[in-house]
Parts: sequence; structure tokens; C-alpha cells
Amino acid sequence: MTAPLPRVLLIEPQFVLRRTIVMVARDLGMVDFDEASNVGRARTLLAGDAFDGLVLDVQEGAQAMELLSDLRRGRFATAPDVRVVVLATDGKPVDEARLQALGVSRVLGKPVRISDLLAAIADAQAPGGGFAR
Amino acid sequence: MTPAPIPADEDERLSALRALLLLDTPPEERFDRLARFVAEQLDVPIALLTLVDGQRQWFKARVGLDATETPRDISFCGHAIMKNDFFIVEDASRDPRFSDNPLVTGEPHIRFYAGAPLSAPGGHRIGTLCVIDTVPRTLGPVELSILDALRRLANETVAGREDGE
Repeated sequence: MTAPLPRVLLIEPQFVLRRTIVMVARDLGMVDFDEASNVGRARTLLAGDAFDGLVLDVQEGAQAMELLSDLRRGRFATAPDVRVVVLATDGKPVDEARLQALGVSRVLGKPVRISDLLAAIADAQAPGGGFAR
Repeated sequence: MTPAPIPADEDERLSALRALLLLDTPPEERFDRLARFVAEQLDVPIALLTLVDGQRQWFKARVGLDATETPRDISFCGHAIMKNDFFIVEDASRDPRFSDNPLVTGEPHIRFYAGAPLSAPGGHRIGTLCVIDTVPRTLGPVELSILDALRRLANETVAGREDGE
């Protein structure tokens, strides 16, 4: 029997990037993404479902960091220690120390290559990685 | 050179294409972003969203090319619309169908071409989302999957079913 794919929440405002990531990951049998175009929608999904990992675009700044903080405090149905990959907005500085303190596995700068993102997810799926089921 | 063939359903295909009212319309961000994105992801200098009309291929979106159309008989996309699969030429200079094609021997000096056929809502193949390079290339599984995903988004956009941001 085939093992279920890891279920990961992708929070990404850019429509073409988000939809392409979801379709490619499904096509290649790597990840079953649920998708949210903003942090508000992500909160709704996190309240009702447990995910094996998160990919979070931090374009929304403080709201994105607050979501991450709430995740680590166990305020959602998802385990508080899941792996998180962050997508950083082009040219916008990120608080790497804070991201590290919030247990972010990887930070990828945009424009992000989908192949690089999938590689980061594959790393997170490796034994001990939070995306593995 | 092998001229681009004419599909068996050419009359119906042209009717379906023209009913979309896209030919000779101004650039639109909903199409331009697909061309930009595929060029960025596949690291190619040229990406086009083409519509194959009766005697020409016309570019609804283009990255890296100044021309707005080329004759259909010398077009690679005219070949690509013959099947639903990707049409890939890894090195046009070594392919007898294209080695003396003026788009290969002159500007834009095409060496690599990969086209994903686009379909009108009724299923007729109307054009392609294609990428072009001036050096020989191959595409790996992730790149092919990206091109296929963007083809599906382009089909939704052609049909007016695309989502917003």
C-alpha cells in the first residue's frame, strides 16, 4: 500500500507561484499541499486541520511572524514542532534571528526556484524531518 | 526545412481560436505573468504564449523577443499544435526539420524549443506556451512538470476561468 503523502500548508500570496507549486508537487508525488493566499485564511485552515509542515511566505510581516509564534505555542491543531520553510520577499530584510528562534528550518529568497523549494521540502521529509509521515 | 503542417481540424480550430477574441489584442498581465514565470523558472531567454492563426503565429505574451508575430510555415509552434504532448527540439541545428529554418539560421537563433499546446474550451489546439534557448538544452522532470502546470493555468486563463491573486 502506498504511504500517504505528507500534507503541507502553503501560505503564498502570488497566484501563479502558489498554483504551480501545488500542481508540480502533486504531479511528482512529493507533497499534498493545502493552500492559503494569506495569513488570515491560513489561520482558518490551521484551526481545523493538522498539517505535517508549513511553507510560509513572510510578505505579511508581523502577521506572518505572529502566526508562526502561535503555531509554536500549540494554538492550532497542527503539532507545534512541525518543520517550517520560509519564503522571504524580494529585497525585504528578514529577522533571521527571530526566525531561527521560532525554529524555521530553511529560509529561501524570492524569486524562488520551485526545484529549490522542492529540494528543501525533500530535506524536511528525510528521517527526522517534520514533513515525514 | 519541414513547413509547419496543417491539422485535419484546421477550419474548426481557426473558428475556435477566433471566437476567443484574443488575436491582435493588447498585452494583458494575466498572460504576461505566465510568460515571465516560465522564463524565470526554466531559466530561458525567451518565453512566449503563441496563438497559431491561418498564416501566422501571433504572440499574446512574450519575454525576450521583440517580434509580435512570425509566418506560420516557419514556426515551431505550428508543429507543436499537432499533438497534445510536449513538442521538444533539443538542438534545432541538428534536426533536419529545422536546421535551415530562418529562425534557426538567423534571429533569434533558436537551438532549443519546448512547446506545450494550449487548448480552447472545446479542445481545439490553438497555440502554445513555449520556451526557447539559443543553446542546446534538455528539460528534467521538475521542469517538464512546471511547463505542464503553467500550460494548465494558461488554458484556464484562455477560457476566462483563472483566479486572481
